[in-house]
Amino acid sequence: MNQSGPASIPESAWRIPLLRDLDALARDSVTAASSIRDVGTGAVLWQEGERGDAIAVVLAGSLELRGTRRGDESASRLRLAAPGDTVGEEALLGLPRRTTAAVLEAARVLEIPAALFLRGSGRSHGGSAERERRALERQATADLIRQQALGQTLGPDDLDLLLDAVRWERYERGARIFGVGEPAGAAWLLCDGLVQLQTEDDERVHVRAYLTRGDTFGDEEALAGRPRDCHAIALGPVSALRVPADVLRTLVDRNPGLVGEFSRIATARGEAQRAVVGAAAAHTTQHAFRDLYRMQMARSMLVIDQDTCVRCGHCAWTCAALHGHSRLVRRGDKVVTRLPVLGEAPRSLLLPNSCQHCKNPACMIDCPTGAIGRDPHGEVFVRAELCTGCGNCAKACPWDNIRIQPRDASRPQDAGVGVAARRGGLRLSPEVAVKCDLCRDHDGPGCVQTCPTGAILRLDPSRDVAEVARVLGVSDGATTRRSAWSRVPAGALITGVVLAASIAAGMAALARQSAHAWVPEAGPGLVAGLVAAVSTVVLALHVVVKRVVRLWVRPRSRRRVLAGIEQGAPRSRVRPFVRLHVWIGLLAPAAVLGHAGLRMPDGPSGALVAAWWATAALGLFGGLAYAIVPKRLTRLERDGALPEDLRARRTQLVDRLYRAGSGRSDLVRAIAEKILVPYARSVVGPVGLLLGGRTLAEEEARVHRRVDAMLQGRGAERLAGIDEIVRIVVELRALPVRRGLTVLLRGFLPLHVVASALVLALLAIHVLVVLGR
Amino acid sequence: MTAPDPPLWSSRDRTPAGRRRVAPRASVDSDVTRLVGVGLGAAVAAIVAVLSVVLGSEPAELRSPGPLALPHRAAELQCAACHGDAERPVAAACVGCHGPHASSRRGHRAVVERGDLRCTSCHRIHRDEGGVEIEGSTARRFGPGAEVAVPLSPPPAPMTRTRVPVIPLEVCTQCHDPSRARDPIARCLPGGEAGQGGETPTVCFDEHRTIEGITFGTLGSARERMTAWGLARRVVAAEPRAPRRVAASTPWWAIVLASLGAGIAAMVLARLTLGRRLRRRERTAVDVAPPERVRLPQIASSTCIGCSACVDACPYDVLELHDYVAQVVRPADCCGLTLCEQRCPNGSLVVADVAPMTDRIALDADLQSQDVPGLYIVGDLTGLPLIRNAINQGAHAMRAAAAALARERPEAAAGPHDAVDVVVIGAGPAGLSAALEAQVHGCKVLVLEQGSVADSIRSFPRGKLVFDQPLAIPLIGDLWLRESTKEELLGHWLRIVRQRALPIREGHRVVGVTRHGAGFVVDATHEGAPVRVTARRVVVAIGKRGTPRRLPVPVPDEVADRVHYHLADARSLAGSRVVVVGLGDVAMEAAIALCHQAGTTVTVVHRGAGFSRGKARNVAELRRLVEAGRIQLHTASEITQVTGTALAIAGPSGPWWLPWDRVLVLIGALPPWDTLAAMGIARMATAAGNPAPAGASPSPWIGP
Repeated sequence: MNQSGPASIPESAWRIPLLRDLDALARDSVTAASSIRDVGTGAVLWQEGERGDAIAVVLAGSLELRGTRRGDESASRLRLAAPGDTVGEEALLGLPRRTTAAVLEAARVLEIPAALFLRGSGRSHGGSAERERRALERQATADLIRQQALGQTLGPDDLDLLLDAVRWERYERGARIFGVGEPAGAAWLLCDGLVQLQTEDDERVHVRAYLTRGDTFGDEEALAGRPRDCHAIALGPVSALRVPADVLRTLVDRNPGLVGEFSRIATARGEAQRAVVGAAAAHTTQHAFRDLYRMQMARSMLVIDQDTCVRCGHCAWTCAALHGHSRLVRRGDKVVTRLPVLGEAPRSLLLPNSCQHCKNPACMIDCPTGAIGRDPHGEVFVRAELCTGCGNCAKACPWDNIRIQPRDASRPQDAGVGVAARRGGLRLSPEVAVKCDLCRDHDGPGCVQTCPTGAILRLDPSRDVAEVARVLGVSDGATTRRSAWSRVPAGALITGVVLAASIAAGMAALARQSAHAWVPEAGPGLVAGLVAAVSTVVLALHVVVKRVVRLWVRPRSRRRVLAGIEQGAPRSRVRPFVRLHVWIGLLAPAAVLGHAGLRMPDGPSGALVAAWWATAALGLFGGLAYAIVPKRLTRLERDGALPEDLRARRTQLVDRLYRAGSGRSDLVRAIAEKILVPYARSVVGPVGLLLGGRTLAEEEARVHRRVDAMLQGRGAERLAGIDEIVRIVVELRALPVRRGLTVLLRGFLPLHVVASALVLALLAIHVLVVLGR
Repeated sequence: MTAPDPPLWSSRDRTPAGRRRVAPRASVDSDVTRLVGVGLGAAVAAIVAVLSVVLGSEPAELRSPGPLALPHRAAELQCAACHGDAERPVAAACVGCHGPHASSRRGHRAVVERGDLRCTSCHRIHRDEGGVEIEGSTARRFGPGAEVAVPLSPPPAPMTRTRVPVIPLEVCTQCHDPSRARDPIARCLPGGEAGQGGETPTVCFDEHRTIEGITFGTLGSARERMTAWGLARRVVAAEPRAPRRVAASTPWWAIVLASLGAGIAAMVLARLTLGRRLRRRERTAVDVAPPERVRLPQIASSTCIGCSACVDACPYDVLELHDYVAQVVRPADCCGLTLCEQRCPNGSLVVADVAPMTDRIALDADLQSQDVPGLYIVGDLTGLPLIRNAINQGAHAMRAAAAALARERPEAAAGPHDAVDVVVIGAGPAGLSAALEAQVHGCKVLVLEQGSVADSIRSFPRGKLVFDQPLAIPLIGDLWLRESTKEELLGHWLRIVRQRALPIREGHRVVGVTRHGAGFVVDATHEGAPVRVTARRVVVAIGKRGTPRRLPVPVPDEVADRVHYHLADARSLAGSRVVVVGLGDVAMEAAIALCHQAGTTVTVVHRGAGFSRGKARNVAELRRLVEAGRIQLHTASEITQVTGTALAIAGPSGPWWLPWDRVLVLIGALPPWDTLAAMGIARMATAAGNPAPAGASPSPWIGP
């Protein structure tokens, strides 16, 4: 099977009904973004269930569409496609392939990105393309309904009635499909997206249920004719079929079994979800359900385990080293959830700004030139040569994961000739959209492979995040995938053994040196010196491990990275070397003691010893900081912030404090003045917070207790808004600790590196002198 | 108890951030740059270390185990002289100069014959070997590479140059035990000096010659030798430790400190340079001149790719996307800036001049009114919209005013006592910017504001993103924040006002500005009382919002505080029966926000027959809410009377009474032209040469 790049579409193709009415611009963009595939007899164009974003037009040869009809055991032929026919129209509705397309006779197929076709036909509205499109949509709707419980119960007449009455409704992220108290005029069949049913009281939202594709909602009220008793909110772009209440009532009258079908599913789901969500919400406020839509939508989400992340930013640096500009920004939401791949305990996960390869990518749908594509494994990528830098994708991405940057003509992937250039005269856009493409030109995501602590992972949240998996009704893979990571912490054990050995050897060597039994010039002292020198060089070579990224992330032509994620995420390749560095670093002092004892002669030898110990001390400090600080830091964070953010954070928080305090009751103001503001201003307070090791939530609870103790039950009705103020003052108090801990984590490394260079230089001199003596 | 999380999807708030207006741009963060300069620092540290070692020591000494004692140095001994032949023992070289004269002691002699006692066994010439040199009447104690004069009293009789070697005790203790009284070495220790351990000098007798021996070397006789040894003992008693040349090589700490210091300094410098490079922005001249012609986007629909870049760039929602092609839907709102044009990726949208601007004020390059010199006009009124431009204009005009004031400074003292240099009318972005600039130039400034600081920003809906225009407008002053919400911007400004102690008088409505000599008299009212300020310059920054239109019926004083003319935060009216008057975008947005508050009933009263204008989004949502019974809409209705409990409404079906708690009057604003006219500022004639009709507002900025 070969895939040719941008197609030269034969003139005849434009005459087929579907494409006949596309205007010039639409043709241009279809030409630029489509591809022509030649497929041999017996090959399969796509498999049932695969993600497909393109509709395909058969230009030559013939295809067979096979699918499993509901109730059948095996696949059977649904239809044949000859030249001029269209296949794969379900892509227009954003649905996965429902059929397998097999080639009967060597065929040539034109693949048009569905989003682009929709745009094109939208521009050329009124023509037959629009009619064609509607027909395709109706066809897809019929198929969809037939696959639902609803469709199985209904007869053909009822189905036609339903098809005539239903209307496609699309809702944006956060839109309200209906609200409490509104009359129930319709029921919805959710075709794509995630809907949250909720009720609200004064301060918070109570989730009744999360609904996913295939669920029906709003039907109970519609049938009973009573007003809505909850809100339905679209958690992401939602497409739903709206079934008018009267039609629904007619159908139910004709098919009494229908009601049971709906409510049974709804009740079962609701119960299970409530249990999971309640459990998660009890132990943390930052649970994965804060943005369940994201969890459900993500195909390969980048998460950073904050308890082990040492905030070195090597992931972002690696990304910049590979792609010229980092597409990974270590800012983002934090969630606390259970991750079976990392063990049973709830983990604090940062979801940094990096593409998560949505199942239904808003960026791809909004791209006017078809520059954003997705391969069958679900990885979403930008074709820089088609990108006009208009920023539509970046604005559409709900999580700010796409950035616009100047096009760098020296980079081959940026410098391609675009649709503009091919159309002659128009320049290539000066800017281009960039996003994570899972390093598709390399053999795995660079950030994951070079993380020094293995804290960064690529996950499919709807499978790997236990709670999300359970709510979405996917079995969580805990049992099968846990073994590798939940074993005894071998690394920590080895480190302990190495440390003990080093201390013992070091003390023995020091005793020999003090007794003049060992001298540096000869015998065991000299051997120790050689060992120390070799260790020092090996330790210094760590810079190669860290900075020569291409050692770990090798170019690879189109390996399916996501295939790797299926089998168990790619792991850090640098981590073993970091451990080695630590172990050698722990052992080397013994050798140094054996060679030089505590002597500090003038000249280069003394300087070497001094610089060596300084480097070792910095390294030890860093190692300890890496081991201890992240957990403490994580407890005090609500989000992922870079050090430069923390600098501005105080001002922002104080501003927020003023805003939160304005318009509140006198009681709240008095509490703020007497307790909360002095609490936030306290100089020693942050130290206590650090030493106490409390989380922000625990600290908030403490502050609340103090407030309650002062009030002793009075004025509870005038406390509106105090929660927000408490949150802010606690965060204010935590801020200096966060800054300090971040400095601890990041401050030592530059000094360590500079001191290491000094050690290497002095070591070289020392060796030269000794050799020349 | 834990604080409840702010709900992510509360239906009470407006739609959460769905689509951004601005595409985020790639930025460089500290993760990527944190090790910038470290490589340089490391290299510098290494180089400095090598240099300090190489420059700080003589290469020969660097390779030797230690400096030589002075006599050997004086003889200019090279390494090869002793170590030249690997076959020959080093001691053999000593004999070449000193002659073969092994220790003459009986005990030693046996060891010498065994070959275990050579010259170098006792005279470790690279180490702490030292001795005493006597020449004339002066005595010196010498050691490896150094010597020190030791004054002796009484001074000895002059003698020819004599050297006496001093052996440290540790050499002798290899065989001897000084603690045993019978050991001969016990007598060699100078009195009281035994406490120095192995370094204690021993000055016994000449090991190599018996007293009766023959004269040799420079010493003429045994007596002279005895004298020399006696002197040596005195010198050693005074200076037990042989001096060493400390600076044989650079001390270790100096090397480490110098290298590390240089490395870190280089690193810091490199980082500072990078920071400056990242911060550096394109500097272009600030253009504050108002436009002269009405400009509108022209869209080539055949090439428009429907990317919505222009739609998102437009701050006033002039453009909309229909069927994937951008269209100008609200030409009257177009501000004429080229934000959309700049964002269009393929040149399908061009902003072109359409017609000459009609409602202009005659201003010179300093934004000074040509009708009333000394009076500056800044902000939206000039016809140049956007907060950033207002900020720039305010600063620009104030600079010009300050320069003008400085020129006439000498006669300024003659003004009345309560006079200020500049009165700024209006505390919006332009006014605040002007006041800040005045402080910079040391002018005495007073700001009069009819409402409160930054009312125009306050009236934005809650959480509105006051986004950073993708236009390279350079910025004067520090009022602007990058992409921020209304609340952030407001908080920022209020903090600046507080910190700089800007003299702002709120609640002062200016009613007239009259010329008085070289300056102006500004008349204002404050809570009904007249206030008069004398100023030498006036900056008018009143914006185009003007004064909100009032209810056309009398409102009794006792209910006046329940009648509102703008809605800053819908939560403040939660739980009451609110009547919204008007059906513009502002009114619709307010009604929608209010009906999402718990326990709030919203009634909209509109004079017109139905939805006549407004954004499609608002109209659709309001219709939906009306259908759902959440909002009562009464069109073709007017309030005819206000009482404490009910409003009299004249509707299509006759008059009726509507009970109320709060009334929100959102029926637009009276343009500020009358105020300007009162100051003597005229609008420029229209293109056709006719003066602009009073009252009506043909300007694209000023709604009727």
